[in-house]
Amino acid sequence: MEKVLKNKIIQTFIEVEPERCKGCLLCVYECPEGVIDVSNKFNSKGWIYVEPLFNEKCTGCKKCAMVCPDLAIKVFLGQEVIAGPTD
Amino acid sequence: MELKLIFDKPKTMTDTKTHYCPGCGHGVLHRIVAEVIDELGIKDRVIGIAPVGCAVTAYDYWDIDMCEAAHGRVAAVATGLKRARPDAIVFGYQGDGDLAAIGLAETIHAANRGELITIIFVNNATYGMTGGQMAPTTLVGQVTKTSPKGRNPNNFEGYPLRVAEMIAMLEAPVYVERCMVTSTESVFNTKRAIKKAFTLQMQGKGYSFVEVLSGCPNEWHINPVEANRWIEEEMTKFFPLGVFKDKYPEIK
Repeated sequence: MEKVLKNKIIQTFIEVEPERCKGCLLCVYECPEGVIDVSNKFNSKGWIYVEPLFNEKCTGCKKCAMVCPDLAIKVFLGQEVIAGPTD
Repeated sequence: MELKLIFDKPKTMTDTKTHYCPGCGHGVLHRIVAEVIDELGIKDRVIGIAPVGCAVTAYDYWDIDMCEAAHGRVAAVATGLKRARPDAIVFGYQGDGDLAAIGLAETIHAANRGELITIIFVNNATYGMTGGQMAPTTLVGQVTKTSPKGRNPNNFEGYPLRVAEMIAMLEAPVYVERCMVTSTESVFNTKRAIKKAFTLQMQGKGYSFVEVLSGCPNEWHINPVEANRWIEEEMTKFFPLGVFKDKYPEIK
């Protein structure tokens, strides 16, 4: 999700490593914003993996990564300072 | 834009992909233990003991010194390691077939002696690795391969063993808790419990025991999301969560 806070743009998003994912879908049900969904692709082990299809809705709460049994999810936080009122 | 990684796998976990089935609780618990080891900064002096069961190859996933014990003998091996290397932090990681069935004698006596070890007990109410047979912790009425009509106490099949309560009844253990790994909140709670158990050992207080209710969707024949709901709704009725014994409530 991209959010403008006074003089900062904050963006959070997740990445799913397809080779680690086994498609248990725990993250899909745990995510409060519905960021993650099942893809229609298979990895080399034959599992259907999940993808962050709606990353623009991510708030960076890390709930998906907390319940992922396969350490497939990475959460990123981006920050950029722009011109505007200071704190 | 400046990018920061705010969630990644802990340093104590290796890059190896786990062999566990989709939705298995072991993966989350491995990560929790690794995070606790990272946070306490004890990676160089911690020794883990892998059980026989699904977590038998846990030494591939943790980048720490590991030892493999014969079926059920984790507590005995941990006792020896701790006595030979008092400066090491020794923890055992056991499933319910390992701890509650064949290793119950070792576990009870190690707890009763108050050995300075930490035991993490993963309770999934079935024998996961061998194909889903009835375990001592299988719930009454639960269908498994060896109890096709459901576990029936009237047919001399008995009741589930509440191991955490049994350990808490003894005099020597200092910390006994039961938690689960089904949601973000419970994962945080489990992490707090395991961190406390390690801290108590580091301070030389005594035996600590953490039981973790974990899902086995493959052998319960339900999907991982339903498995977690089943733990929260059915398993916690017979295995209530909470702290059963805490001699040092001031230590976090």
